[in-house]
Amino acid sequence: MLLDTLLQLACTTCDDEVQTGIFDERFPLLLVGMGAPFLVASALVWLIQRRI
Amino acid sequence: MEHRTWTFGPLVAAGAVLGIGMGGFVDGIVLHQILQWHEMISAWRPPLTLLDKSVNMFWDGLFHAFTWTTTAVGLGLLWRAKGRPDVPHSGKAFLGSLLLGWGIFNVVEGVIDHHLLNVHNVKEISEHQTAWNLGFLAVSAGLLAIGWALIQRGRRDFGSAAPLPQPPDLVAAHR
Repeated sequence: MLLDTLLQLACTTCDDEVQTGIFDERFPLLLVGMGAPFLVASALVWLIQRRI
Repeated sequence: MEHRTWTFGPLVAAGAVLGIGMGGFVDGIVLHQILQWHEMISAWRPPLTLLDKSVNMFWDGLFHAFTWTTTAVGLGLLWRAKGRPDVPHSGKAFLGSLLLGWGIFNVVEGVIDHHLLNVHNVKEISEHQTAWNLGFLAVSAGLLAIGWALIQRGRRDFGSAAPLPQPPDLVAAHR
């Protein structure tokens, strides 16, 4: 995974425990949960501005 | 004098996307960092140890990366809107759009993150987490309503079919 590789290269304070904590089995769901509000809100704004 | 309708869509889109980004920053800066009421995954992983704090900080960082990107997109939209002569220079509509975007984002974020996924609660250390979560939605709905009302006032100020300024008027308006 690109993000994983970048963190390994750049993150001097991350240790294995932190990496494991970040990239656990819930990572994909959390990423969706993080991004969904921005995408859904932006989609709603797009719909609203078309009707104004 | 040419009569055409003003186009509010680009201004509302720019303001509302900026509102999403800036509203996200308010959440991240005020609630996550200054007040420390919650962190991004503080319900799933309470930040009680340095390890859990670090994991939460990673997700807070991603959250801020999303807010920064959204704000940058909003600035781009505003730049484009500003160059269009048919887009009104309405402060009320712009302010309303900012509030509208902030309110929409908070409502969507509240529903998804607080209620559906329950990754965090508005006030994590509280006996009334649900009340805080519902209060957050209520305040956000208020922002949304005020924003919508301001946009409508801005539209009324300009009128739906008011004459567009001609080039000499545009020059005068920028003096």
